Amino acid sequence: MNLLADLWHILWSVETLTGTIRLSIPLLLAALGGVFSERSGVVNIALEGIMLNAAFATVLATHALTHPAVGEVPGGPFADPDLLVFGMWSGVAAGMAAGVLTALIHAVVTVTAKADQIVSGVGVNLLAIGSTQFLCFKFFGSTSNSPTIPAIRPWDLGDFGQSFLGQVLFGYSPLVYLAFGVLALAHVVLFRTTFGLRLQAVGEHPRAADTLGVSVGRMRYAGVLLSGALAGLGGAYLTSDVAQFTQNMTAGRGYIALAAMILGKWTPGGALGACLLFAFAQKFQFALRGAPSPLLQSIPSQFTDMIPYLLTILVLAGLVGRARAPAALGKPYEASEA
Amino acid sequence: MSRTLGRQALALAGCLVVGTLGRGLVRLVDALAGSPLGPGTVGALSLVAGFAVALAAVRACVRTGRYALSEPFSAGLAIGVGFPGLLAVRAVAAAAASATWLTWLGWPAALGIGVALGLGCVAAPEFVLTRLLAPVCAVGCAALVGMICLALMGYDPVAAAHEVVHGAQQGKWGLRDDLGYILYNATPLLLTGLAVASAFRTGLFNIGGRGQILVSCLACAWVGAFPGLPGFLHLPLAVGSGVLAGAAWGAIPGLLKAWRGAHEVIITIMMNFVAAALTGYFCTYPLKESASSLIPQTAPISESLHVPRLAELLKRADIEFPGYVQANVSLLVALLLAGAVYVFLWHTRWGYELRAVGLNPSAAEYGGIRVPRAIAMAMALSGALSGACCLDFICGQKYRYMHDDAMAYSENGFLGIAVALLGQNHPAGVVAAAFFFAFLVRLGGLVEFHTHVPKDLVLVLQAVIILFLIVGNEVFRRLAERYRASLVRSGRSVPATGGSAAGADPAPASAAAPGGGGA
Repeated sequence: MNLLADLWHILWSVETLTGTIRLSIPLLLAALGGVFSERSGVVNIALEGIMLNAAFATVLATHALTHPAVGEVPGGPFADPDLLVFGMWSGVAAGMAAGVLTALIHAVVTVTAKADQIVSGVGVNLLAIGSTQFLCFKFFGSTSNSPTIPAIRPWDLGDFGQSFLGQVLFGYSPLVYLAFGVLALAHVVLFRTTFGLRLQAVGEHPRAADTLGVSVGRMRYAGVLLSGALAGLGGAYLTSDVAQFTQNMTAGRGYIALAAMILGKWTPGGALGACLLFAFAQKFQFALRGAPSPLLQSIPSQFTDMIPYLLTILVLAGLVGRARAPAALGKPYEASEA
Repeated sequence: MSRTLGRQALALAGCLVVGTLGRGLVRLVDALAGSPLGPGTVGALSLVAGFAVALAAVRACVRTGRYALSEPFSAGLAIGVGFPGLLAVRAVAAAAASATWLTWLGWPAALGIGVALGLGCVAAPEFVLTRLLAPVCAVGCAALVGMICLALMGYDPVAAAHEVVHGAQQGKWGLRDDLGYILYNATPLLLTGLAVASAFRTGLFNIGGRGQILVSCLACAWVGAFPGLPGFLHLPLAVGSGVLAGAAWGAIPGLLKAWRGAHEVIITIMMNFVAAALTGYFCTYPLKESASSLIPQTAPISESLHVPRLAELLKRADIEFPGYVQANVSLLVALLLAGAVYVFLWHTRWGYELRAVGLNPSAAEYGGIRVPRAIAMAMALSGALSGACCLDFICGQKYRYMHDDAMAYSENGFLGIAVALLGQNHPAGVVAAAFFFAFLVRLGGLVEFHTHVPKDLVLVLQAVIILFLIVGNEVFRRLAERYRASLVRSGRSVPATGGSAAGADPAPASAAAPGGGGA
């Protein structure tokens, strides 16, 4: 009974609930990006690299804009504490821009040159690992990590902010609420607007869409670049969480986001559910470390680490539910094909 | 035929000589004017001038109708490949100029190779177009990007290159050391490159090299630590179980693809993470060397399993070789495996079936090939080849499973993709590409040593090679199609595709367009 009580306690702690939300946000944003890209028919393994590049760009821009004056060297233009917030949000914008630029490489290679989408994604990811380390050394003198940057803080709500409800509902960085706004918007755009329906058409039956006058190439560019912006926002969120850049800091989150998108059956709502599930599994493991019962403590972390991957494998194998990808996913479109 | 080829060779040699003379002219003018431009600018200018002069010479030959280089397209291609080839050979000869015979043999040798390359283009323009040009251009673009990165870091790229080469001549880095490290780096790249390439030939993309390496190394180290087995039995048993573990880890995505239609790319990516967690668990809990130790590693394997290093073998032949270089016998095994993969894929019935599935699954099925079985078999084979890395890592380097080192080593599974692509998915190409990438890694280390530019530059270059390669493959494939169409229009016969074994068949169609994510 003691064990159950412990578990119950862990499940409903503020720490677990808020931690789950925090961990799910970068996954959610990248998964939403994945939805847009793959719905347009372009496999996007490059999410990982997009997030990594965005994370670095965010840190670089924020640092450049907000670093305090040291001796002779003047501080950044937003170094003043009152202006800090501009610097931080410019950093987020820079992250999104870097995400779009990285996605542009993927789009040029896969849509314009019609090369293999998966290999291109692998290339972009490798490029991101190499270039961020290289540039980190160039700008910060170390390949492993950057100096810390100011992080975007939750709103100060006084006493209410310290209560259970206050912490669970309002204890997050504004980026979290932005992410949920983006989620709602993504759902509406994808299923209720002309643009979204065209995007889906291009991913399901590009020839039909082309016949009706929808430019397949342009829609696919839009899908991939949108995924760059969204995954870029996810990368920016990562850095605001830990307030610096570290070598390969995405650590496979782009791939988990890909898994979440598949588990969520290529829909924004489904992706949210999957991301929350994966984030919970991760947070639950941390919580178990501090559990009072030795039995709970002894569960090896490796098993909970596997959950997202095993679930994805099961789903793809059709053993749990059935995932149906967009019909034209992964196939370059040849306008002149007979 | 041979008379035409002889005349063409003569014409080509003439054009190349004229081209290099044009290149020399630029340098002469520059030297007479007191070198107002930097060495980099002059180098680039002379290159462009030489190239233009060579092309003009070809055009003149074709116009006057005196030469057999009658096909303007082939002629242009011949110069396009022959001229840079000549200069590249000459540059290598200059870099290795410590061997004096090379310096005066350099030009004729370079000319000969340039003409040979050019003639290859004339004889088999399609093979060159679709198989050779894309890798060469990709590497060239990567070199350009590398130079830009160096310039960004505030180094003169030409000076940096000079420093590295000069360092070689001064004996700052011994040729044997570097050769040793290249061989050491090449071993896993060779194996993973073969793994990815063989799966590619069946139209499958195996990104699961990481996971396959991890499980195979753990299995090999586990069996290798069994006490009391005779050595002659123990080694094959341990390595065999490692290879089997890799094959099984590769077969799972294969089976899921064959019977459930699950996309092998996503599954292998997920399997990589599962393998990392699983091996981490085993070497932290059940297989840990001692409970008190904090390091996640297994017990050492028995000494009879240590395979000899190359240095020990070469010592018997009285060749001096640095003993601290961990390159070992598994390199030779990997080279043998490359040959075996070639024979298997191109000269056995099973290999034929795998390639048929890669080229056109529907046609293969219609022809009586059991496609699901072929897919599962190809993935198992690919996993087994990745798994063979355990011979190098466990029996040749670490003599036990150390999780952190194994995780770093398993990166080779990813790099194998670049190796297979650059090698155009052919075992011979893979061997060349593996040594090239190993050389690149070593070069990155040297550049870091001499200029403090981080060696992560090599990762960037590898990525650039991948991206340019797949774009180049598409571009040149289209160009080749247009070339064929022009031959048909002009009423000439269409030559058979490709000339040599490497070009005997086009890349698998379905490898270029993998199916949907899950359906």
